[in-house]
Amino acid sequence: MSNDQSPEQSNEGLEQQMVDLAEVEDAKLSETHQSYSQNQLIRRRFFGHIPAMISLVVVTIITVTAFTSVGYGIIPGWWPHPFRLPQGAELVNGGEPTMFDDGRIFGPHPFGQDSLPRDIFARVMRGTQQSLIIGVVVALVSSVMGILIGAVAGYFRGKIEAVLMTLTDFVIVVPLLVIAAILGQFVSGMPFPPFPLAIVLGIVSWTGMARLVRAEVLSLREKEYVSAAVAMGASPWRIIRKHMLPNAVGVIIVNASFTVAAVILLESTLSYLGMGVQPPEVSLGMLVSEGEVAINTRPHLFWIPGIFILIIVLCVNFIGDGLRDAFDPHQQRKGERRPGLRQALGFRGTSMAQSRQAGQLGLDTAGRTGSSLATDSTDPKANIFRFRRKK
Amino acid sequence: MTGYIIRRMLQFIPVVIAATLIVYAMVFLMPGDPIRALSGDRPMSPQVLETLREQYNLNDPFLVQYAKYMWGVFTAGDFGTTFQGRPVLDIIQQGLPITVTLALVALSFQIVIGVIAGVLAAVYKDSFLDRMVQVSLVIVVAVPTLAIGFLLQLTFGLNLEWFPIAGTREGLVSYVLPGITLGAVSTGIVARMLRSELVEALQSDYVRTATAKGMRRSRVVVRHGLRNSLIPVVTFLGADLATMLGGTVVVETIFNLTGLGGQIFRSIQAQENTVVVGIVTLFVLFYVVLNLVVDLLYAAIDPRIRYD
Amino acid sequence: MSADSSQVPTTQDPATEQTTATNPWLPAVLSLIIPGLGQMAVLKQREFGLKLLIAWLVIAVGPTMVMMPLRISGTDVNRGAVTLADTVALAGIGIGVLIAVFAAVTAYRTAEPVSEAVAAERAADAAEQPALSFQNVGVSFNTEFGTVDAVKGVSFDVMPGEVVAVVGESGSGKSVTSAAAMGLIPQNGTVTGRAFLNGQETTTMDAAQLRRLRGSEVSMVFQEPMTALNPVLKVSDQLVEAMQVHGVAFGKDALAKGVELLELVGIPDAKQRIHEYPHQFSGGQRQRIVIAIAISCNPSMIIADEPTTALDVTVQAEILDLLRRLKHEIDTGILLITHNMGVVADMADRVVVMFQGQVVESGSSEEILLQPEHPYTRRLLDAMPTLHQKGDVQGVSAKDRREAAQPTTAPEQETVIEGKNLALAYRNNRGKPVRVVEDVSFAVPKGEILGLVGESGSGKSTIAKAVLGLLDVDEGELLIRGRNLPALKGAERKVARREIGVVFQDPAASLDPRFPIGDIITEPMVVHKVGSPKDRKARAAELLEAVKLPAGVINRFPHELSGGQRQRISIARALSLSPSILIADEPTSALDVSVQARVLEMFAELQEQYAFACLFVSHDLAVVDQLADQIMVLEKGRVVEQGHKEQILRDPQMGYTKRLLAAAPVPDPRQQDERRAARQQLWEAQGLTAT
Repeated sequence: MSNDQSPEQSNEGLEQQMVDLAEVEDAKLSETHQSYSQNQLIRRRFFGHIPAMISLVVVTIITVTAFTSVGYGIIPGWWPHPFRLPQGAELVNGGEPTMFDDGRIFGPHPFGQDSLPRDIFARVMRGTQQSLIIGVVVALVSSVMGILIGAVAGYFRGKIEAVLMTLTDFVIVVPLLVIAAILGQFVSGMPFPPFPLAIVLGIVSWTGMARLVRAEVLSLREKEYVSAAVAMGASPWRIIRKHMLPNAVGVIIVNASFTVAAVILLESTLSYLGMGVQPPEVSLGMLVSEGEVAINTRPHLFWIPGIFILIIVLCVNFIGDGLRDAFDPHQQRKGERRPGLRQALGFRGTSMAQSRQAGQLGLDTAGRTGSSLATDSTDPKANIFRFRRKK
Repeated sequence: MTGYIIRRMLQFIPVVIAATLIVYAMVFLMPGDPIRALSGDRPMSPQVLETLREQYNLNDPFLVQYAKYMWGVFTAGDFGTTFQGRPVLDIIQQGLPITVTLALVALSFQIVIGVIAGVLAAVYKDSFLDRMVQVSLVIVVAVPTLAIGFLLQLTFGLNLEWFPIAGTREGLVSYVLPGITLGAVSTGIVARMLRSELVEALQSDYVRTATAKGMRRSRVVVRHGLRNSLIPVVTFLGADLATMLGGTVVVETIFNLTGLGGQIFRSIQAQENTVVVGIVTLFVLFYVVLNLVVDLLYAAIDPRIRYD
Repeated sequence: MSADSSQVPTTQDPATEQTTATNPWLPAVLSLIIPGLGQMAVLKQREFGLKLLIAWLVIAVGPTMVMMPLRISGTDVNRGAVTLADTVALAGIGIGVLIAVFAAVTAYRTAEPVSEAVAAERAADAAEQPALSFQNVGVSFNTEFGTVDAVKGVSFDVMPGEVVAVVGESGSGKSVTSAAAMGLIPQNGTVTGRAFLNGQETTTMDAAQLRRLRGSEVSMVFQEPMTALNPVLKVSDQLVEAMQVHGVAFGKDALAKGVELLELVGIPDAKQRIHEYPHQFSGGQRQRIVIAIAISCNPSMIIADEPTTALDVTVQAEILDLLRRLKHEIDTGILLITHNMGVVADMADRVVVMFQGQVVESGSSEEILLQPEHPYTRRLLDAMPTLHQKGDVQGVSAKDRREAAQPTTAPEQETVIEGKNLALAYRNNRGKPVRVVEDVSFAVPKGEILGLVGESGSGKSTIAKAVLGLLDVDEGELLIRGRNLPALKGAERKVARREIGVVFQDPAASLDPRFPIGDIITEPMVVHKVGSPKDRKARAAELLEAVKLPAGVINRFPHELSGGQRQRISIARALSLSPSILIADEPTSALDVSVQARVLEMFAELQEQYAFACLFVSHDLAVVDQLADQIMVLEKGRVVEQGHKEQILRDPQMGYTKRLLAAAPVPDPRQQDERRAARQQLWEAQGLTAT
């Protein structure tokens, strides 16, 4: 029995139909159709997000090219020129890029050479490697730290929360660039670049994630399925692990992806100032800084690495957008706010005030709060009109 | 209310101490001996080096150094001196107005352009205008500040010659390009945030009530939607102002402004601990004060918030 | 990078001492602080746009004014400080201009007033024609799931001075129909058919014409009083808005009229309170304010969409009284949308019943409520839980049913849940405990249901939370099977929790959206390490059968189920360890009537089968009447009356209980008239003012 009725349905026809809402609902259940878990729904939405998909492809291509062309660690690459100054290098074509030049598509030095002369393509690839590694490692380190601190603070509240949040405040207050620069100097002599740099950067950039996770945990705490789990005797770790983190995963992943982009920009700024990646290693920021002096004579030295930074960051941001739309589709549940930038910036006063507002609202509504609470965002009827109330 | 303010100001103290301690520790732990670096290639007798060390308290244990320094700062306004004998306060006085002006110009830019773009995008949601605004925001956020700075310098400074490209000689006008550069990314964020807040506000019940009263759309948007949506934006702007103060170095370098941002970096490289800590202390103070101001502003805008 | 002193102009050489008499920093800093303080003071006073404008002008002008004397006197001032002051000034002016622009946009521009001739003509027609008329109206929406027909072919009229109730459950299309009358359908909806308001066709009007109608000829009252008013604007502002937009009154006149309206709807101290903010009023008072706004321009038609659903039952009675009184005084037609048949019996002259977008039956309220013809209407009326009156045929309680099934004399019942002088407290923001429940004692033996009844703020949910161990007990004892729960720690506490199952109110938030149904149901078993995975699967299937859901649901996810189905899953989860105690906190309050009936029926059967002791929290006396054996009535955290159901409901002793019972509407218009009269007498007898 379907719900689609033609407008000319006669009265007798209607009587033969289901005459009870409960029956209608139950009937829908017995129809067999594909059942999607939350993860599958999210994945479907993500793969349908065009800019994110394009960006994913672009980033993959760039990553693969960067790591295979110049090689990494002990694995050699297929690009003939090294990124450091080789023996017997010659200046070809006056150092200009040989791409699309004179009928050639790539030529020996598609991105040109600098004055030493070193092949810019190899340097850009190497720089991309470093930037990507730093971005990913920092995002990982800061996310892990941020999740731990945020989840513990949000779940246990009380003194633990006060201590952790004050600690977070201490770290936030110091200007990030300053701390990063100081630490950058600190690790500039260490082996295995860029990992020491990445790790120290990670240690100071967890605060945003911590605040977001804490805000998300605070809002999840009020959910009734969490209360049910507490009531049935589940341990706090089980609740955090099985109920809260999986439901917070959306916010975490989105924030982590935006962190990657932000870190790449931060690193390029640091390297530009001379406090990030040190020679003989290369980073995109360093290339930009080197190229800046010759910007009028040989602009390609400046613009090519700059454009690379732009493309990578842009793509990562689009991927982040796609992830966010996948986890949090625009037909948002009314009355349910995912914590956003506001909570991340969380000046204490404002978050206090908000929780007070929420508390006031909670105490004032009559028992029938069902009407004001969420409607299912995947229920077709619920998406239709904004004036929808009960159920 | 006053009780709240006083309590918050008391909370400043541990935060400032902790933050400055962290920075002092980091600077202190950096390898290298500044005195030796000072002498450079000229050999100096050990006695002279020793005297210099004594003068700068470098032989004292770390915490004592820190304590002496902080005491000097807060009682006498004495931020110490550089290793060449120049008072740090002097350096700060030189660079502070430039940095602050820069940040304020950037803030104004953010407020005006960001708010307008956000409102337009929200009101004409899903239209071409909206999509254009959104796309340009995404791009702006991704472009490194360096590139924006250079682009602006090239087009508006050199090619079109509308604005000066470096220095502060021409007064306020010379801050336009750097200000835009500094504020570009945040403008994008403000516009996006305002758009999403406004879109959400426009779906709320009280907006529905207002529409049901027969008010014009534009009036509903501004009077009902905007005021409620501005609250998180104000919070963000406050935080952003504080962050900008600490991150002006790139812009200052590109546009050759002698502000505190560049100063701090040169000092880090030269291991001039006193300058670094002095300026950072100032920034930390700015941050906590701005924090408090934003919270108070929040209370002023939203009548539900009352601090007791 | 450049050296320190590259671009600094030569008016000041950093190497020389600052010999100028004035320290430039002091005035610069002062010029920022003083206006800032001034701004704080100004902000207290006036209208938002104006005060911000003034404040920013002060900030803009302030620094320049302070620096001016220094500039004029020619002293060597730090160039940077001057530029800073200039910047602040300029920024301030820029922002001031922006605010001025916004203020201009929000300035009042009224709609053109209707010409006198047209108005007279309309008034003449008004008596004969319907205030609101739907003719074969249909609304369909374009969603990502395809086109959905929310409303199909609806036709009915509302005459002036008449109250027509539109009744239906979710999906019936009742709200959409009313929105169509005012042109408030969102963009992805298409309206077919014709709707008329006082003879004017609204379905063909453009935006400007619709705006003129809204608020002045037809106004709406919505369901949620808590969010219907803008929290950052004063009540006075929101009250006079409609009047000013429609040119009914301006400025001081509008304010005076606003005060009158507030008094009319029963807000005490209207003259002072009009200047307060919405959050300073209670839910019932806010709904009154919304009604005041609705009648401010003397509309001929009020559309009230579930106006009392979110309110306590006593407040609901008062609001309905208010609406009835206003109907007489202003002679408006009222379109009342509701799902509650009792409210229909109380208010409506005629009733229209909708199901799945169509009108299935319509007629006078007596016809529909007492002699329904359509099977759906009949089912709807049957499904509604009835509050039996004294002398009615007694309902059968769970205990009676069980005793009928097993006529053996049961041994002395074990008291499973017992509270002794319980006091419960929340911690407020400063950490100080605030008592919300004081001196509550009760005892629930095995197999019995204790109904906790009260309005909002009564503490009934708080007690449920405490029994679940979610809230600490401030004072007193809470015994679960003889053991004091607050005193237990760690492993013992966990063991005690095995005995307790819980069903919460909100079906949307009760189930973890990432867990498949099978895992949700068996989670208690996993937590207490009971049974092997195979056992758990079998148990899940068993429980699904008990709650009458198909076995295939085990692999589905919560978002695929409806509200009622999810509540059944909640119940299944609660029963998975065969607990001796079940706590149900308003389990059916968020469900449609017919769905609620099913769930309650099933609940009663399960209770028979499993014989758990149950704490059933509800605001709905009729539901409690159906299920409970004992009842405890709470008000503001204290027990007003408690005892056996028959005694409390048929023969209450305390005034509060009597008021609660008197206020609950029943779906019989004649009875309801009598009850209303009785209620008003009761109010007067108790010394309360009737609205």
